[in-house]
Amino acid sequence: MNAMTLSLFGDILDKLNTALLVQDRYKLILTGLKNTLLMAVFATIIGTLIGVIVAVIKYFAQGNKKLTPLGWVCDLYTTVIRGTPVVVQLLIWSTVILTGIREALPIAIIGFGINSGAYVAEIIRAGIDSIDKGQTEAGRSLGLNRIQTMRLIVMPQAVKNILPALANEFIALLKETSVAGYIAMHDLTKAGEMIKNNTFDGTALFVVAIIYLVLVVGMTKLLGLLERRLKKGDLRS
Amino acid sequence: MKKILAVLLAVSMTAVFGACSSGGGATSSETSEPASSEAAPESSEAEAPESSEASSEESEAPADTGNMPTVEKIKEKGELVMLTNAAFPPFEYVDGSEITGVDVEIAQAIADELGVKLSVTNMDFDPIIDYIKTGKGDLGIAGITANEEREKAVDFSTSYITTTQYMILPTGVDGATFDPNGKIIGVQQGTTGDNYYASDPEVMQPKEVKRYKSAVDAAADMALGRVDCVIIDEMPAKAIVANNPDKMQAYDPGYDKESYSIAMMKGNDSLKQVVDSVLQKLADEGKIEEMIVKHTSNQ
Repeated sequence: MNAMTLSLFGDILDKLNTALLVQDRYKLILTGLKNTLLMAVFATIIGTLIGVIVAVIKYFAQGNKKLTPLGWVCDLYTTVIRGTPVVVQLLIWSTVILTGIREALPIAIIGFGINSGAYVAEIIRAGIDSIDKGQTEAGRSLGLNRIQTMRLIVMPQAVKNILPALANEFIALLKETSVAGYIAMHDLTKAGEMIKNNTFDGTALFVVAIIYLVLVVGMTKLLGLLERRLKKGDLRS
Repeated sequence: MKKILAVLLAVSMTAVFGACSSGGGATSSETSEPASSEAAPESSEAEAPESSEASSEESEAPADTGNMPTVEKIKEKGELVMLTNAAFPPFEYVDGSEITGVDVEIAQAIADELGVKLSVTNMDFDPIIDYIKTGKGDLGIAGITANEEREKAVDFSTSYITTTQYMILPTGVDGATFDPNGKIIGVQQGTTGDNYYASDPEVMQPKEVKRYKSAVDAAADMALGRVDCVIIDEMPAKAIVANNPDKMQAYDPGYDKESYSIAMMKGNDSLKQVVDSVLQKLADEGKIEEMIVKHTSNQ
């Protein structure tokens, strides 16, 4: 290690110290991390619920005249949500529709959840379509009704096929929550901005970037494990 | 293992970028010189309590004249780039499709003096100082309060207006008895009202500080009951209230005076001379007062 490397290292430590330790600034990052995780987790749950419901309705609406209007509603939902930017949706939720809610967190969760639902619905629909029609016919001929066939035969196979795409969506959602600052949410990104505003130095933004990266790498790892676990069934046959 | 590798990669990335920015980014404060001597006395008075350790350890690299927008370079370009946040009436706001206001007129006067055309960049308020520091714009004119922290990053012109922080409160709330402690305070992110009032525990301990992209957004959320009070500069506060007189009121809590200055890159003395002389001329002719009256009534 020569002197220059050492001084460079000291420089970085100095900057990290200013960005994180001076005035307990790391607490801003912790609060931000908490809110980012809350948004991501609950929006994922809402998004998955909406996605499954919408995808199933769309699937059944194909062959059922009575359900056709409901199918149109679902089509409209995915078209509008996927066709408009999430920031604009969030601002509309906050300033026009959900004006009765005081806290920013529930608004963000609702906004991101409903946004994610549209993408999840399309992924699941693709998953259902990927399962051979013979599977449904087999289930029906064994005396299961439509819902049972969907739940017990089609869905388990579909989920395995779409897991990588779903993982992608969840990762995208986690990163998308970084725009919640538009409605005055104190999320991870906002924490980085706040520290940057106090220190006029962007080091905190790197810290924030690394935290996002670690979260995403962790999620990838977990979903990879799940994927491998689900594949075990294939090998047995 | 892969995870560890990824983290290592990220750290090394940070190191590389950090090295670049500390080498090339022009942070040239000659540590002993208090930047812009005329602005200093007024602004130091405006300083709310603030611990000075914050960025004092920042490394000082020599001025990078490579991207410094000197007078010569601006004339060569034929364009003066002004960075502002056009949600701060009467200093800068959008009128129809045009950005106008007191600051824009001042910038126009500076551009006229230089014989170039003015280009206005409308952006978020909080990164403006950073952008000026790194030469992504020529002048930061956005009702920027000159204070010690910011003077470490950029040079300031002489001040062109003296103002103070106001509270915007819902109608029916008595300002004299309003206590911000334990309340939800709305601010514009990165402004004086944010950094030196709402976010400074020595000044107040609110329950929560909500940081918005503009004071207008903050006031709109106050009207919805999401914040109890908005802290923002006097004149924008009055302008915002004037648009919603039945819902909100402006209150002067008697905070310290502070003054607005124009931000430019550290060591850009040729530009500072021009800016200061134009400001002096406008002040002598009473033009700045005129502009304020005009843009306040324009709202």
